Amino acid sequence: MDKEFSYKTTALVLKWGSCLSILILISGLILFIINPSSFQFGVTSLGKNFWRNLISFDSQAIINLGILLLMLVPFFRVLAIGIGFVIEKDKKYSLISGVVLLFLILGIFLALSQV
Amino acid sequence: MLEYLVIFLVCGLFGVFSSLLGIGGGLLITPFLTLVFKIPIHQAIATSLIAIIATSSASATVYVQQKLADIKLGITLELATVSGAIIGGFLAGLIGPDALEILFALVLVYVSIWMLRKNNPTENSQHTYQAKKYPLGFLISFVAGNLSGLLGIGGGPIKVPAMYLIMRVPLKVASATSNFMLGVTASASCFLYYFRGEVNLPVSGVAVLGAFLGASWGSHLMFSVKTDLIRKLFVGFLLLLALSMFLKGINLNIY
Repeated sequence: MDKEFSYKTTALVLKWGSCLSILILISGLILFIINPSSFQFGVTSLGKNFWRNLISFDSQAIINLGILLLMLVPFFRVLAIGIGFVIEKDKKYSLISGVVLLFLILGIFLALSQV
Repeated sequence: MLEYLVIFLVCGLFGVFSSLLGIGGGLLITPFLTLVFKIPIHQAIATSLIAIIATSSASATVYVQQKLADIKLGITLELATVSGAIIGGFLAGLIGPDALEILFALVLVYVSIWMLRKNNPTENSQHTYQAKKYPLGFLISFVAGNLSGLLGIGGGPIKVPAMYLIMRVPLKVASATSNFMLGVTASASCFLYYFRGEVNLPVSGVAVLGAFLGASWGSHLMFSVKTDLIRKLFVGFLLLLALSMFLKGINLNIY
């Protein structure tokens, strides 16, 4: 098995994950520039109407999606590293990646508990 | 609309500097948004953390492709930085803005001193090495993660010396590995700010885009620009920011 699998998959996740989120962010900002009055200045969270607003190409919801995807890129990066180590049959680092992933998931649950 | 353009351009400039000098943009974004645009520090920290994820993802791709970042060392130290960042992000919700501003000022002074003493890595990074003193490296990484979650900074000036001086990792590898770790550490605490409703969407959107584009451009400039003078001027700027943040923390606004 390719011993460099973890490096290759990590680089791919980093590259495409950040590019996709930035592209979505740019789309939302362009819509915001076209129609700035639709934007409610202030803080945000996912909100009740997030998906409905997203389908109707609301600039705020699209920027929200871009930011959320960007925040998730490191999560998928750790997942890719973990899968890479599993494929390379490196038990020690597969376990370490799994624990880091678990910490990240616990962090998200802790964050959700604050809502 | 003009304020968004200013945020975009200034954060773009910060991205260029952070890329040229090898520091996280968070050191600049948080004080800038807090001092100039009077954005609450918790929202500024959240913006800074998202910008760190964006800029570090861009640069880490290159480090990983070149195999300069030690993924095994990075993922091991992430155990400490991620747990530290989650605790830091949680604590930030309990600490008032004034205390965070004073702590930020102290960290800026530390980073200024670190930058003056920092040398450009020149050693051959390809030679074999074995990281040593993991327990101490873990402890320092935990503190770095904690400060990252608490103040929205990358923590590189804490992790790099720890890896280089204590764990005996070559400086180039330590810098690349620290950069590789930044995004994961920032992401761990970012969700806490997000779900507390402290992500200011338009401000974060333009700041993150500016920082990302600036850092991408800066990484190309890195090979053609002499950074010594920039670094010294930058240290002066950081100390000025530290003073401003400290005065704001003790409610003595100079602006």
